Amino acid sequence: MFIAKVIGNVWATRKHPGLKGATMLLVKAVDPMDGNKLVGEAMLAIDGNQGSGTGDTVLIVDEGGSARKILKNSKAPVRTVIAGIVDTVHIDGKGKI
Amino acid sequence: MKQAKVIGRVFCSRQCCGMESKTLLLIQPLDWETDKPAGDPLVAGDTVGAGSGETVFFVASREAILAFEGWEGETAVNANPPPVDAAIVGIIDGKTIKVR
Repeated sequence: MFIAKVIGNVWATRKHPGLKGATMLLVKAVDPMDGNKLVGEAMLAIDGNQGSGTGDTVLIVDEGGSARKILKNSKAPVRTVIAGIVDTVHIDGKGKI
Repeated sequence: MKQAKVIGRVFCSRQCCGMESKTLLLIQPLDWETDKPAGDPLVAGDTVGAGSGETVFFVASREAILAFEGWEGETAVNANPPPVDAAIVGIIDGKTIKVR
């Protein structure tokens, strides 16, 4: 799991039936030591019923088995899922995000 | 899931178990933010009927086979999915990026 920021969204009319009704968001990993710094490349994540939106800091699960469990669909072709919305991260007693 | 552009189609007259009548497309992965090519082109199975020049998103590895296996609530589940390692699962209509 890692912490990421929602940077945008994607919409698609024609998609796999396993993704029907799914909210597709673009996320980019956040440097945990500096909440304002985004690292790595953007990826497409499915919102796991968290109701997150652009600008939110979220918790990402990037593993297929867990992702399908979160979506409660054992056949969904999904690997990256938003598992939670991060309120704060504390490192050494200081709020970093 | 990654973004890609369909750049061609692949035909095989001899192919392995379960690959029969599956469309194979040549795709060029793209960066989500810049839309610039990211990495080398690859061959992916198609589940949505994508065509040349379309911008799509795809899943890789085990999830690619799941895309062909059927889904929950579907009556006919494909017991013999093709052994693919990338599958196109959607055609992108549009996207917005607000935070960079």
